[in-house]
Amino acid sequence: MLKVNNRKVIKRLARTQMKQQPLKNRLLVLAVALATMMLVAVFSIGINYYTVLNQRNLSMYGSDYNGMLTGPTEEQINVVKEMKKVKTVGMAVGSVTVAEYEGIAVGTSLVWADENHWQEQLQPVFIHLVGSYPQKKEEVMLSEKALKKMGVTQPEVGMVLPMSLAYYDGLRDEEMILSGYFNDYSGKNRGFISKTFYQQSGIKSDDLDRSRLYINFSTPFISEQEEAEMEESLKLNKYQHFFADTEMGDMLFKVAVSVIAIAGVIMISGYLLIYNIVYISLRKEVLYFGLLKTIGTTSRQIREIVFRQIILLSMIGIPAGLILGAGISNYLIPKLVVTMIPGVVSFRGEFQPVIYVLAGFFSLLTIFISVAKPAKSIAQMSPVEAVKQEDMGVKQSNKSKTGSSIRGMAWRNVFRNKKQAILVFLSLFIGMTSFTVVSSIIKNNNAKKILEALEVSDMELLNRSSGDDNQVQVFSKDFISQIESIKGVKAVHPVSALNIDITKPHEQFSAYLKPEFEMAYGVDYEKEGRQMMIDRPENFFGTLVGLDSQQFQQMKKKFQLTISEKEFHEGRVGVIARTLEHNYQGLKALENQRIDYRFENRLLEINIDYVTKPFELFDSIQYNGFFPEIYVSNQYLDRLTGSETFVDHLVIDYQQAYDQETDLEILSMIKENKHIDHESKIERYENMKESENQLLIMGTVIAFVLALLGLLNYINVLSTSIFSRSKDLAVLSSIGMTTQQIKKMLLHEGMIYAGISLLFSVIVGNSLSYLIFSLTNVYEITYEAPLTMLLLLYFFAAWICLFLPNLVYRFIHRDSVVDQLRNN
Amino acid sequence: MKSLRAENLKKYYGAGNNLVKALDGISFSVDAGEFVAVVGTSGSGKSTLLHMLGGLDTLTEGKVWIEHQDISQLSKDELTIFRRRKIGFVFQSFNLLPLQNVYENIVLPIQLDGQKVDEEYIQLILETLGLADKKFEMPNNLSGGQQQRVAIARALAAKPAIILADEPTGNLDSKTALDVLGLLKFTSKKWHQTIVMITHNDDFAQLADRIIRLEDGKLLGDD
Repeated sequence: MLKVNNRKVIKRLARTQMKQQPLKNRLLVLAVALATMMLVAVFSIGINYYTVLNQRNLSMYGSDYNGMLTGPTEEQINVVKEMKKVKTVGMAVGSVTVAEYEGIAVGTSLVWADENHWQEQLQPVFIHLVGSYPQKKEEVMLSEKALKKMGVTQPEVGMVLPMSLAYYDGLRDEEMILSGYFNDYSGKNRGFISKTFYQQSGIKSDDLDRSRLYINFSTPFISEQEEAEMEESLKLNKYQHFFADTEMGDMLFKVAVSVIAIAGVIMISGYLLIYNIVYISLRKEVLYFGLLKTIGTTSRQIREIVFRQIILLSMIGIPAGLILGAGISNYLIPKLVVTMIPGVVSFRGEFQPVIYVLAGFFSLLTIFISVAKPAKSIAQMSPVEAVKQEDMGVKQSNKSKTGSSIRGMAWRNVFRNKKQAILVFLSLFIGMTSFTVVSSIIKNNNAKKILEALEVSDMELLNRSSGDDNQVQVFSKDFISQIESIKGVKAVHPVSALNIDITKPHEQFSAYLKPEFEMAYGVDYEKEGRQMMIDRPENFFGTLVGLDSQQFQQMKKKFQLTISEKEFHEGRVGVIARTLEHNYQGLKALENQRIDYRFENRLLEINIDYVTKPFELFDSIQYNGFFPEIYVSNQYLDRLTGSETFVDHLVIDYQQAYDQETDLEILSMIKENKHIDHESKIERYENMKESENQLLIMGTVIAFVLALLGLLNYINVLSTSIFSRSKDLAVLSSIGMTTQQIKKMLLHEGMIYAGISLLFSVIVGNSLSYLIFSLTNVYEITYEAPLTMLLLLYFFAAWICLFLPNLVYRFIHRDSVVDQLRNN
Repeated sequence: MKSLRAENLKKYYGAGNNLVKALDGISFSVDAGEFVAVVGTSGSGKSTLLHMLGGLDTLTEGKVWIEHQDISQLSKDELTIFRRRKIGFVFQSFNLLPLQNVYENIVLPIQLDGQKVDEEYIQLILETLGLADKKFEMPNNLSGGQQQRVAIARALAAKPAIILADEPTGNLDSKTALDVLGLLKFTSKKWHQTIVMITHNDDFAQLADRIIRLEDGKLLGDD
């Protein structure tokens, strides 16, 4: 067959037709640009969101690592370095503790971090850092928390800090120079010293208690079997501990699934928007194409005309969308973050070329898929069919004898074109569901909830002298009632502490002593430990920790204890707390056993009801005795001492969490008292809030973009549908339906759209949110639906659904009935 | 009694050199029960005249009385209500609602008015127009002639003062057209129904009681 050169004609036809429809062109360019822009924005915001979220999580743990080995030997370090999946190893050795600063008890541990640990594992998690890592022996770097504890609120690099340092063999007073300070979300009281200092401190790098090898793996996917193999290859001694994060890969996978699910939803929404516009505009042009066919244009040529137009429009729409998206995600949002959060100087909107390539590719793909089907059906339509084509009515007969109520007419109108109705419902449903999911992710990842899950109390006041030889009772009954009288305070729980002598340690604690001596003193219990206990009995004491009734009830509930409050108050039973991995088994044997002890020459005994698992109970007193703490009641301790027992710290509950006023009132009360330290939940929250706000802004933008996509789809489809029905509306008007009645019918249609899509969104959206939440719930937070946001959305969506039909009708209605009839 | 009275009807479009006088001072009246045909060539102003009589469009000048009501005095919504009570329309393109069945299409104007449907009367209309067995069909399943009969039934349903028919046979073949016209004439006689029908076909116009001729927006003759 001879090839006919008709390119020119086709080109001209495509161009002429396009020129005649400026509105459609603009609408399509807008839709393509909008969808592309949203894709770019959502992708890059999503990536930023994930980065910030991840960073916050890292910061809460204080350093970035996924494996750890305690007390590593040179040999073991080399073995770890040789491991296939190991990327970085960093070393940290706790060398000394700051015991006191200007008469204030501090207790900050100073650690030497090797270069890897410092650069790869610590620096990434700092929010800000001033100065540099200590180089000289007398240099020290401290966290702002540690400085605050020392009473230094305005630190300066180079300032001299005379402090009393606790070496493993005793206290020494030294003048240190501050080489730098930092802040992180962990709020840890910690500091760093130079390599020279560490080398001179006499602590060995394989010290079980003080030395750690931190490991980063090259992949997050480490199986439990691999962990076991690594552990085996390290030939650990009995008290060494090796840990590899085997859950990270699993968690990442879950997060990836959620991210892909959200991205998928965006893609579907974008697809629907473009598809709708193309489909509707092509349908309107059926007559034109029919005419072209009658004069001999082939199906292929018609398809070419359609595609040519779309490609031309995409060439404007896609780049415009990419530029807009880049503007939003790299300029607008960072700017918003910086203006709205005073503390943030800069916000890294990371430029990821892959996002733009992906978004552009997807838009193009969507356009082609959207166009292919209508183009094909138009191309294949017979010319006569095309010329006659009208919006088809219903063919199935209808047995209704009652005639049509306005409500019934509305219902039929909604489902007149089933495909279109489904598209509208789908758009609204997807938009609203995505909004629900995203806003519930934001809601449940909020700093307050995390603090709640970690059981951080509103305020804790700590007695700095706790554990010293000369303890000062600062939390007297008077002081406590003063705190209680503050308006916003709900309850004050004093936690008291009393040191006791364990009278039969060798019989009753035999299983505990062996591992404990190895860990704490690095000696064998039988050979040396026993003698040490005889020589210096004052070093081997136990502690009774006193709780009030409410705390007992909480503990009882948490550990499902069966003991009665009476037994607890009488000191007949107690609970052993703050156990560690190495001593847990030894202590577990004490459950339901009797322990004998002595206090001021009185011989006493107590039954142990329960031994807490390692890390099961976070909160305890500030110092450790050699023997584990036994929880009893405050009442019992007061009876034992015959007076007010020493209170280690106060746990304060507020009437209303995050009550700034109460916080300030308490702080001003203790301001002058140098023995009192505090831990305020508000302060910790403020610290986390910076990233919290970043998450909030980005998440909200995503949520709104998604909802907007859905609503735009709805607006687009519905307005086109009403325009295409303008003839019916004119007929109704000609046979006597008043404007009022038409509006009522349209309102009913809106109600049907709103009702059905809201129903589905509420059910599916919330179930899906819960599912995603459960998949990504790291902190074991209880689920909470973002009620305000959802109500706002439902209200807004319903409002649009209800009033849009009438708004569109108003445009049509401006013409007279005759014009409306004639236009069709 | 006069069912319809038109006085000096004028409808102008555009201005200056582009001024088009679609209707230029037309006056006439129609008695109750009369079947009047308005004829004229394409562009003579027939359809415009009908739209003005039915209150579907606004006049530049002049007045229309239907029974005793001057419809130019009515607001848009009052006019709509007046229309559904007093005027029945039959269009060239039938203009049935595609989602309503035959019965629903017919009774809709009555229901929109909140009135009770006179079932006996509707049944009579259906039978008279040969639609009894098509009561529950959807318009799309009907032939052109059947659709136009439904439109006539709809116009009759509310027992209006006047039926305005705009080229009711325009989309029909000549046999069907004659059937439909016969029915129109028959209903006019049977229920003493006033009908004003527009047509460009002189043969069809002959079936009417009276013929009004229009040319360039002016009345040429009334016989």
